[in-house]
Amino acid sequence: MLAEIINSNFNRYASGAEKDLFFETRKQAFEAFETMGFPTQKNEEWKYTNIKGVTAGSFEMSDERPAHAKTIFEKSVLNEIKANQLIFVNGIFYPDLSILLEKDKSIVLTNLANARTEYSELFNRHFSKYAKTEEHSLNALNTALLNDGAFIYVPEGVKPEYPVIINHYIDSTHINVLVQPRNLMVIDKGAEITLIETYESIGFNASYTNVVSEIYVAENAHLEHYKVQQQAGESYHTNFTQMFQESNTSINQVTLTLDGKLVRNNLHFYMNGKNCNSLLYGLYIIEKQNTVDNHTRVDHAQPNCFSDEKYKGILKDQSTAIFNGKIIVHLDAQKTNAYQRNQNVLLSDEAVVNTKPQLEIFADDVKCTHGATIGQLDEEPMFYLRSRGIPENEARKMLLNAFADEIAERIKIPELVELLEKKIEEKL
Amino acid sequence: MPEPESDIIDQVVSQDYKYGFSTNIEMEMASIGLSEETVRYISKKKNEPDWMLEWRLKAYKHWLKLDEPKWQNFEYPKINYQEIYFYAAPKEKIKLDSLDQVDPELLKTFEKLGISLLEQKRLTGVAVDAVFDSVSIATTFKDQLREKGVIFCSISEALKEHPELVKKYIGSVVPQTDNYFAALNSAVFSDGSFVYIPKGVRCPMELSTYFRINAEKTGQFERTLIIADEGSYVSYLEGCTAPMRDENQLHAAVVELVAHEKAEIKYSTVQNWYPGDKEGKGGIFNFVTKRGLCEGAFAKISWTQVETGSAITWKYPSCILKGDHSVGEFFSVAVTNNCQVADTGTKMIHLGKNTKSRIVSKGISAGKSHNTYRGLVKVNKKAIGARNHTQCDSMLIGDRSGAHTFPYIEIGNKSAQVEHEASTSKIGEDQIFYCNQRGIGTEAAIGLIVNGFCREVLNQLPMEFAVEAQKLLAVSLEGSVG
Amino acid sequence: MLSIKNLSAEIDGKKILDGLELEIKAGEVHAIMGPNGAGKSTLSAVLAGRPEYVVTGGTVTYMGKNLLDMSPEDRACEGVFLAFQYPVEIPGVSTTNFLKTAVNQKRLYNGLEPMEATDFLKMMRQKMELVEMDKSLTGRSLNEGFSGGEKKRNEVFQMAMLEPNLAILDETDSGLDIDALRLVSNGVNKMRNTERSFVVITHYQRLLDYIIPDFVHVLYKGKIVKSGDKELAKELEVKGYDWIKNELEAAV
Repeated sequence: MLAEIINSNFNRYASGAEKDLFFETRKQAFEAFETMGFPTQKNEEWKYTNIKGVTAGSFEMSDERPAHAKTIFEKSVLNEIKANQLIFVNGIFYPDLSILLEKDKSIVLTNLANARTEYSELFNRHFSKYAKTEEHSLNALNTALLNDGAFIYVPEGVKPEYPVIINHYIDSTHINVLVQPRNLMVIDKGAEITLIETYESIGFNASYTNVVSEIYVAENAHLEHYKVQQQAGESYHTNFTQMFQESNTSINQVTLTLDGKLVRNNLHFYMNGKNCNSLLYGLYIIEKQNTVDNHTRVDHAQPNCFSDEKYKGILKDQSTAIFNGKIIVHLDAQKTNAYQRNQNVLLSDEAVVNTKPQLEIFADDVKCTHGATIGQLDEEPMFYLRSRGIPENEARKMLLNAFADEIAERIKIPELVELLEKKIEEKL
Repeated sequence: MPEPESDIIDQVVSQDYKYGFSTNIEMEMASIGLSEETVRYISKKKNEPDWMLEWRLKAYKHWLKLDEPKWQNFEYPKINYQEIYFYAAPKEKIKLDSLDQVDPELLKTFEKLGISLLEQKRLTGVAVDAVFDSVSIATTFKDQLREKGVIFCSISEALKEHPELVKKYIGSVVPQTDNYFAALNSAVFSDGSFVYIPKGVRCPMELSTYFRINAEKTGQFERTLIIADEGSYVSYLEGCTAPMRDENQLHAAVVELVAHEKAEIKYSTVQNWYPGDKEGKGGIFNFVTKRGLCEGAFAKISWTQVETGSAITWKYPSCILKGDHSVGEFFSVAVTNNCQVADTGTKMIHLGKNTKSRIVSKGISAGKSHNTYRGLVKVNKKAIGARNHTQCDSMLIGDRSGAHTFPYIEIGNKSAQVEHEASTSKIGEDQIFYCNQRGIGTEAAIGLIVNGFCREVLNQLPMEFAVEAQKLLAVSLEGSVG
Repeated sequence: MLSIKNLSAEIDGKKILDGLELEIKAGEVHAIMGPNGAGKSTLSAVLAGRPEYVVTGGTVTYMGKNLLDMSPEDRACEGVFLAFQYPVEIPGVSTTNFLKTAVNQKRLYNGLEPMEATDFLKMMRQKMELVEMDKSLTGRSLNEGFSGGEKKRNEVFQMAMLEPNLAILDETDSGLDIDALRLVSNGVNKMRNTERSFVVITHYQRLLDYIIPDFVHVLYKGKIVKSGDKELAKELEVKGYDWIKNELEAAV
């Protein structure tokens, strides 16, 4: 089903005005995708996640600009954050709705299609250099069919005053949509920025969103990165984020998965320089028959780096959570400290958790720990609260909030924390 | 000036494998290679009933359809199954009950390995079944065991004396079709131990099997079957060694345990097959399938293993917790040095209600070796009240070794409480220096620290073997150090 | 017994000891005092042979032998004992097992047979009484979960077991309450004799009320800048280390 749609869309590029230098990249990626195909459960990386809902589905790529884009955007909670905003609907850039607050015009906040010509040197140096297409067929698919996405460049030493929000709205009001957003962010030496990537939806038809984000962080730079997934209903969302870190950089990354039929996040960190600091935190709240699959990979390729990872999940109904965390300490990446934890609370008898925290260590001077827990809420605090007169439901909510708090604490934007708290309230 | 540690690493020369001698004895062997004829030959040699031959042939036919597994994260030389002898036995016909008729050369071999087959010389309280290449040489203390109704003999003998028991249980836990090496074993297994503990009997002594590969170009394919009937208890230990040879030799064993209601089986392994030389030449490929079934309520199976030998170890002693309130345990120490690879762990499959499992794994990697923990904890939808605790620690010695952890945790029930903890770190330089300051040299210090690191697992072993295992750990790590 | 001449040492390229001189005769107790960062712990580490410390100049002669040429374990077997400021924990290794190994290694070094188990246990009992150590500690993993005081007492207990010629106590008083301090000091005092020498490294004079030193030295910027008897320690207590610093600066 989907395969045909992909073919016809690629052919559209092959024959259309797109046929420029970039077409070669598309073509190579398309061929790579053709060879690999969609991942199946025979692939160890997809052992627990079945994407039949995607491959058997029928989706369309759309160039249409929905007239009501403005109203969707205005409803967004994140609108309350004083921030630069890049707005995309079904992968199409809306410059008129976007907000640019920064006075320093050396900061580039634009769309990828524009960057390809206007900032061709930067684009060519970084595009498709970090997110591997050869091992990940969905990355190849994205490169072959990509619509558009954000392009951000923060020059050396620049620290933008406001965060940047990349808003991807998926509108399936009229059709089942297929969207291939592609984001590229380059944070130059010593620069500091806060980025929020959000994915929201309207409409009751199905959608398949396949995102690739590449983020390059040059020496001594710092990045705060938040990814918020709240596409609802029949939304299928696969995401691949590759962070590439040079020496002395630090990244604080939080992934919030609050909705969606099936969400697969691949978050990869590659530490290409010494003294890097990478923090990865995630929270997922899953209900109905939905599935959330978080795959993270941290490559300690150089000495003296530190990584800390914590993913927490709350499962309701017949939902399924998958966590697969990989820490790879390469040969000679001495003095590595790497920590990883996955904790799950099951609220229903029918929820399923498959977790696989993995360590692969090829250096000796390392300290690594990982762990996973799965269970119900602790009886003891529950009883304590109830013995103080708090009703069971309230007590449960309090404890779940406390459970989620550990991740919320890692978010430095109060409006985002509020959004998270509201969502938790709604879901629980 | 004191020597820097790196110099010590270079200087210390690895101690030779202590059990590397071979015994010169006339052998009777199947023709080289594997075919339906080989399977028939083995079955005929052992005078097996027809059903057993059919069972073997079914396994062989299935094996032909399978490919060698490829999912592992290491490479090993391709095994040519047509260049292995699948059956090798000392030529003299041995009457199993009489030690007088055992070739003195064989008795000497086992004496040299520290395993005396003469009962008066044996450690009291341990009965031994000695397997030399493809056949069982002798089983000690049989009469005393028989008084209690305990059956402890070679599986060949069991096929003759207790065919109904063998027929009932063989393949019931590890079917012929289970995996590539289990299918191979089912087709060509030549001997192994059989244990049956009757209802309510507490086996009065430790049972032990000692495996010795001797002949060149042979594979060893033993099959062990232990059945503990309701309310019984048995503690069983296996040990093994092989001569030093330049070629890789294949050992593909299958062990099946069945614990009925309220029965307990404690299975301990001290694995010391020849690990190959410092450059990784030679050594045993140890590809083993071990699985226990807690068939009845309150049954308990406990695996303890100390893995120091073999070029490649590939084994996952597992527990199927079918009975309600049944318990599975896995305690493991795996030490790798030079070019060894150990890929080991367990599977705990929770099916019954209120089942419990505990996993303690300690991996030590030195030299250029790789040590992997690979495990599965699965809680079935109906396994209400399941509990698991996993602790899996790795220690690295030297900067060219690897330690990997691949735990799979699959939970389908909200009442499950599952905890997994793992850590990896370098052997503590502070600890080594502290020992040095008290007059303990670096090598001895490492032995001490590693033994401390493994204490929790070593404590599970029967006393005599714990001491042996401790020495083995120290010897395995000699020349490793950093 | 110990003769240190013009000793210089560094760690990570940073010079800590800078021309240190010290002479210790058999049976003497020398206290080394000094402000933080003066090089007190470096001195103990260099004498014990910690690999991270690099000796860049000078000599250390111990009982006629070049100490710096020996490995840490050989120094220990020759009778040099360091009571660590922060004794390390070794999980799974009991104090008894650890000490049995250490005592027998030392015997082996001196060409003696390993000790009989019963003799060893008898010796343990005697020495435990000497330092008033709780028996339950010896069965537990070495230093694991020990309180600060228990760790220090365990160090003194080990010293008693190994019967060194030269014992170096590195800030053994740090982190001890008054009762623990008294117990530890009593243990040390019971071991004083005409053959055995002590180097007592401390920041505070307090410890020296219990272990009365024959000599007191002040270590500052990597060398001994002032030496005296126990009165010097009392003077330091009253005037503080600034007194030494000021005096030195005035002299320049």
